[in-house]
Amino acid sequence: MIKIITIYILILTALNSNEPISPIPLKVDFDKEKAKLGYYLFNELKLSRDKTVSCSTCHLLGAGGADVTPKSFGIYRTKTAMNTPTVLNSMFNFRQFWNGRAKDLRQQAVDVIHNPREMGMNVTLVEQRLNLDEFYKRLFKDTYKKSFVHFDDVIDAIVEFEKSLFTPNSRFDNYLRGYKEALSKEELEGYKLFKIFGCIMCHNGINVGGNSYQKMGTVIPFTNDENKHFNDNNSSRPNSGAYTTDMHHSEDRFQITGKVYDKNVYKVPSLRNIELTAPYLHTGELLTLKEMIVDMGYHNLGVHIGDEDSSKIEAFLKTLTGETPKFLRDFGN
Amino acid sequence: MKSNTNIVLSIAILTFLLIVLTLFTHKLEHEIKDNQSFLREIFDIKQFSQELETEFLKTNFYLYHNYDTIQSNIKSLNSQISRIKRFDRLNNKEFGELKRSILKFEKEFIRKEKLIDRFLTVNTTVKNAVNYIPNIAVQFFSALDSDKIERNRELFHILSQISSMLLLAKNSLDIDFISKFKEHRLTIGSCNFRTDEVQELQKVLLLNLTVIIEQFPVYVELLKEIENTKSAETIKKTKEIFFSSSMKKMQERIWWLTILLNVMFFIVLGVIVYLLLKVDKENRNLKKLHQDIEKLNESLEQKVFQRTEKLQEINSHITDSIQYASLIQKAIISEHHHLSKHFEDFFIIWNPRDIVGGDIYFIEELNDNELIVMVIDSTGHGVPGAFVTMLVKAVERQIFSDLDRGKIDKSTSKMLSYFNREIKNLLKQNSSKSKSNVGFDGAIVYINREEKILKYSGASTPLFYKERGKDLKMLKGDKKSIGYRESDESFEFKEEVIKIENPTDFYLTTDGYIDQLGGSKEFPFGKKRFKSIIEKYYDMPFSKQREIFVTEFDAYRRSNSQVDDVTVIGFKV
Repeated sequence: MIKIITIYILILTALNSNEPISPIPLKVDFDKEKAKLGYYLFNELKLSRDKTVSCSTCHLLGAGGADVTPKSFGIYRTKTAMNTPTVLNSMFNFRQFWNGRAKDLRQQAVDVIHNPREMGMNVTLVEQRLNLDEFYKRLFKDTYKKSFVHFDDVIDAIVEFEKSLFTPNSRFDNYLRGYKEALSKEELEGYKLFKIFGCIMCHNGINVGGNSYQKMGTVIPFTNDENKHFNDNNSSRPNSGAYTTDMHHSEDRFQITGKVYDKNVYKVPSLRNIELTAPYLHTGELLTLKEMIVDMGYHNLGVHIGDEDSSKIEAFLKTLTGETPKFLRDFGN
Repeated sequence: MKSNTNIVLSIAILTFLLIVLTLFTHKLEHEIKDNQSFLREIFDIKQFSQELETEFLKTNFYLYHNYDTIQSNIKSLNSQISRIKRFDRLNNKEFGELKRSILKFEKEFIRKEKLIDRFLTVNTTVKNAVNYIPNIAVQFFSALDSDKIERNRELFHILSQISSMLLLAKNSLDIDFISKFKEHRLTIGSCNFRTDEVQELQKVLLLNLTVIIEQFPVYVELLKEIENTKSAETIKKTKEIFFSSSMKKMQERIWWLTILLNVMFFIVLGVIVYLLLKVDKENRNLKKLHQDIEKLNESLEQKVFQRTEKLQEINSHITDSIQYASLIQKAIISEHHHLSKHFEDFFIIWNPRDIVGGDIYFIEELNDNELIVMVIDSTGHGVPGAFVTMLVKAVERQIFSDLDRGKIDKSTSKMLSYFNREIKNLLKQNSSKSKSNVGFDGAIVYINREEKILKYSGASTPLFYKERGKDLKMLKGDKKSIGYRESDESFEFKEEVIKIENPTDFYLTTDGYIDQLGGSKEFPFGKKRFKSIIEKYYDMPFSKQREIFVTEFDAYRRSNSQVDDVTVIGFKV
């Protein structure tokens, strides 16, 4: 009872606050049975043409739901165009993909499975492979009460699983809910600087981003040099040149609208769990949070954010790390 | 027949109309519900549109804002549009204008959504620049102090002007300020600064000014475009079209419903009037029929009365005749005065069922020592039975005549055979064409007191006798009848001879006593009960025994009528 009253008070506090960021809900509705099936499919290599990649190949659930490499690799070791954004909390994004070409998780999953560079599959092949697998046939029969595995149900299960990937109770969410001591002085100052520098203009809402399209390099143009950091000898990251790559173009809004003003315009990425999702930017070219903060300040604000300020902002950003999704914890991850 | 057809036809039409009415009202109800849902969707769209407008204004007004509120409204509106497009009515040609209006709204809204998406991008850029330029201006001016150039005063003026103009431009949405910004950008850009810090600030300032110069007109333009999108106007118009089209349709439906109800009302009224008239006519017919029946009844009663009178007259006549016939029948029965000479004691019960009967008995004295007793049960009873008794009497006379003349022996068996032959001859029962099939059952007893013997022959009539100190015995006789077409003319009846050594009581009875129905189960009286009376009362005087036989018979008969003629003769030798 006390717990319920506390949650109620926190919710009321959160609703009444004028903060431009809102906390991740403590509960999200999803079908557990379907999500369980979705979990297996999310990790299923058969969903890619050469059976080398699954959703979890790029969305590493143990690494903040994103990839640890700047650009992920699809089938036949083809490098993808963009850094993989996190799958965690992705249901709160207003669109999916960097250029927002998918309006929801369903379209996103269908797009990736069909993408010739990513999974390279089609409906028939997916159904063919899964219907030959007794394990999936049984699971689908139990879950969807059908003896045949349908592509639509495959997508539905994956989407249900992705809905389970919400990360509540970050320290900042607790702060928003009224626990003022949840943030240290430095972190709180970092949040103020986040607002003063105008980061909040783009990174707001439940996902601290993911709710508008913004231009990368608003003030100082951004050049797409994906290897500018990884070619550094001091980098601990593997040299991306070791892998074959066939594309260098960026998937921006221009690819969708054809409007010149949409060049270098992307969906604002979520800053939730940002400390876990390096490397950063759509290019995946930045390794640390501080680098990212400075880089964004430079290109989008035209300012050089000093070391002290960037440290404070970094400290704030780290408070956005939430709990591992309960469904994953219950599933043994 | 015709009127029934009319009623069936009326009921069929009414049933048909009722089905039409049910279907019609069901459709109407469905339509009303559909209208309500549709209207609710329109109101929801309107509400979400207003909320979107509010959130959009907040985004424009506040320095920073949660864009989720805008995206959430856009998502809700998209869902509403999808839902409203799924309404069946939109596929109906009648609602073509409504469909076009909704599609127009969708188109407008998609346009507006795109404009908002772009506006959020430009808005962020402009706001950041508006926010940063005064800040950079201050930093820049501070750095200028150390630079000590002559144009400090002019630059200070320019930087102040830029900061204030930014606020003016942002709040007034006046793009005329852009030209001034361009001038100032040129002026600032033409300055050469020595230190890296100032040069960096100069660069940042110029870049932000460029952002304002490039993006502010877009910002203003987008605001105007969003303001001018006709989504609100379209949804308003959609609502109007909905009301005009759907309401018109509803009015039409209600008009048809009224017509249908009126038609049904008049048909029902017509049927009721028709039925009432029919009932009235039927009533009048019934009344007339009733009168006719009453008249007929009266006539019948009169006829019945007349016939009853006539029948009573006939009956009286017949009864008189039968009464007279009974006198004749009684006259042919032997007199009893000589019985006491031959018997120590005796009794006779002769009780025909009707005035005359088929039972008769003869007691004829041959001499002082010899006597013949006959008990006859002729076919039937009443008048037909009486006729047979007359015939029997005639034959009996012949027998006694022949006995007197010694033509036949004093044999009871031969006497029965004589009866059999004569009856069959008299009634021509030997002929195959004979229609007569009558005869009698009976017993003949010959008593010779001198020889102290009794001879007995029976045609289906038993003889009961009880000798002092011995058990009651019964001689059954033969199971043959006298007369009748099927009887054998040459049949010789058994003759039983009883030696009378001690005083013995003899009893002869026709089946009228034995077969009388009565008792609690309506069973015949029976020989067993008859014998028990004898065993119980044989030692009593015969006059008393007669009384007992009559009482027992009446007690057993209860309310049942007598089924046959009854004759019982008891005598002691």
